[in-house]
Amino acid sequence: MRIGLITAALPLAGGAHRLILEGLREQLVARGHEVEPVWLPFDATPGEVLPQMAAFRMVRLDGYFDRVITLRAPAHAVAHRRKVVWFTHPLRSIHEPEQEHGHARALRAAVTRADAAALRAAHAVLAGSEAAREILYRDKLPGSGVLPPPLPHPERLRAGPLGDEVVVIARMAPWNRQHLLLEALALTQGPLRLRLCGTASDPAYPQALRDAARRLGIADRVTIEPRWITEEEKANLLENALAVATLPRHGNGHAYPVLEAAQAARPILTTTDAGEAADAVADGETGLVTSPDPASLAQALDRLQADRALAVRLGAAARARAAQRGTGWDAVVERLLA
Amino acid sequence: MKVLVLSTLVPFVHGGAEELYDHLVLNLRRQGMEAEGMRIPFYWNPAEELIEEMLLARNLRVSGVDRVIALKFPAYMVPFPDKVLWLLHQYRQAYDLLDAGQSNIPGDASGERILHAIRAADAMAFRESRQIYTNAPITGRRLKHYNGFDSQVLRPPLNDPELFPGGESEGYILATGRVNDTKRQHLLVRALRRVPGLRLVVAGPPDSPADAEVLHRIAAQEGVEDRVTLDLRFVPRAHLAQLVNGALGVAYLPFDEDSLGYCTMEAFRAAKPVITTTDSGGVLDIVREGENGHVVPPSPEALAGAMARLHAAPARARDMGLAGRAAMEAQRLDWPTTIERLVS
Repeated sequence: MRIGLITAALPLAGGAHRLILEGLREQLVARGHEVEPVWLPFDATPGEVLPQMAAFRMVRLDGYFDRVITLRAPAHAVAHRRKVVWFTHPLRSIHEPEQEHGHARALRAAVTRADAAALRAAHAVLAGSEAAREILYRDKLPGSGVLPPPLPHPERLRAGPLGDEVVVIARMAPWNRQHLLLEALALTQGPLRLRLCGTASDPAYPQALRDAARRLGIADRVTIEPRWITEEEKANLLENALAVATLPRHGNGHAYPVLEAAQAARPILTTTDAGEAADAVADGETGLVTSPDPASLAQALDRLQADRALAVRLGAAARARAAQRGTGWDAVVERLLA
Repeated sequence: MKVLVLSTLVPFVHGGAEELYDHLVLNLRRQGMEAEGMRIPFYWNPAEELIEEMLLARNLRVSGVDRVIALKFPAYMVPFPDKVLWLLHQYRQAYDLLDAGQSNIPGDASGERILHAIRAADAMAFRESRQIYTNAPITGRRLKHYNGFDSQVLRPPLNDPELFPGGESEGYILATGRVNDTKRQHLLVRALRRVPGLRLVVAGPPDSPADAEVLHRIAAQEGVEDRVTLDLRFVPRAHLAQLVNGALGVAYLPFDEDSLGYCTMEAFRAAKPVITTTDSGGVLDIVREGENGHVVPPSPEALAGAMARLHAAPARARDMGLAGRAAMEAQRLDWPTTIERLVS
């Protein structure tokens, strides 16, 4: 089958959708399909979204592909007679505006209408997570099930002895709330360290994090690396971490950080409002799930550093559960090509 | 500096333009830039839809980079304040191919509208670009003639010259590159019957299964199947280079190509004479009859003559190959210099 994998990407910015796309491509090629990835440049500035969705709608794919699979929003706006939308999350810039004024509401309504039209025209819409499915339901968008993306290369992640560092590998952005962890760390004592890494969309945020670390007097316990982390670096960072923290506000459409942490047998620290991460972690069994406030997070950090046996147990359980529950690529490919 | 390379995508087709695109991104990175490439699917039939294809490009938005380098129509219409064009392709069916009667744009009022739209949108894209480079002199002349814009020639360098040191001839004629109607490998297969004892190797990806079938059919009809090897696929670079290094000569017969062609550049780098045709366009910027190869009319008879001359006098073929290598070196093409100009 000739398959197009379509995604919308900010140039040079990493993101899980890139890993998902590459992983899916490898899997499809290994099964004998001809695959062409299509990266459409996309700028998420709210006022620019609708014209770009209109442009995506004009991309003519029917003549080239037997099937297209769309990944990151708003790639689902493309038209194809056999379009499968693998929906992870709606556009943040539209759905989580900083201020709630009339214009933002009108724009959100218009984008939701465009989303609905694009999804109704799809052959199938599969949510990347339970949280994504709930968003589809909330916005009255069509959906035909949940299909979480597996890790592309779980075998590359290794489990070493626990160290003293809590690691966050995520886009460095306010909605991923790295600042909450800094505030929590300031409430803890001991050798515990925090490493924040990931591409920053806006350089102001890592700067604010650095300022906060200084103000809180914990600059020597924090490493801030605002850049894309390669898969190899990620494996090295996870291998000896004490825990992995992931606290995206309302989730981010996939549970890759949880799957990766589990594969490396690290306990996962997340918050009750972190979407699919919260759904994927069993509190006290595979990780710790707390309220999204510094005091609760600090308490969890202290538990992990004080009780190594607990940390080891959580990490091992996380790995066991991932092995048991994870959807394999065979099943994923079958659903996407059905 | 953060750089986005923009081009168009025709899924599952991989030829010289795609090689250039891949290596441009790779070499930007080698020169210390953060670089990524994105290609927008392009579909040009029926001609009425070309207007939508341009609208599409015009409505895309790029952010997060300092510079865009755009290569092809209509991807170069994507708006960006710091845009440099390295023009490989305009939509030639709106320009010289239209004049030559080879266009999909209808000759009626609707065609007029399409032409007007293409020319207006081209003018806008060219005007807003910081600088326009072209891949060959002919591309630049067309741009001046039809659109009135000045440009500088920036020939794409060979991507992996180290793979082509040359070597002893094993006596066969080699045809590389994409296999299709306009690259005319079929003329070589037809010529082969007239040159007894000579072997022909065609190694390259066919654009469509039909392009491959044609060559197999002709080889059978001409009764030369035992002397022709049809390796019709995307040949791995190392293997391709081995074939070039062991060839007696390389035949490359595109119809009216703009650039020198990677096939020509690889052959000359490996000191192999090149057989081409009088209508091969940009290839004739470097291949000279009797000096570094043979330039003959595009007929099986004339090509058979050229092949027979190389076959009969291998020492002479070797000398012509060395002259070809010297001509290539005189062009002084390399990626670091090329990148420097594109990001200046």
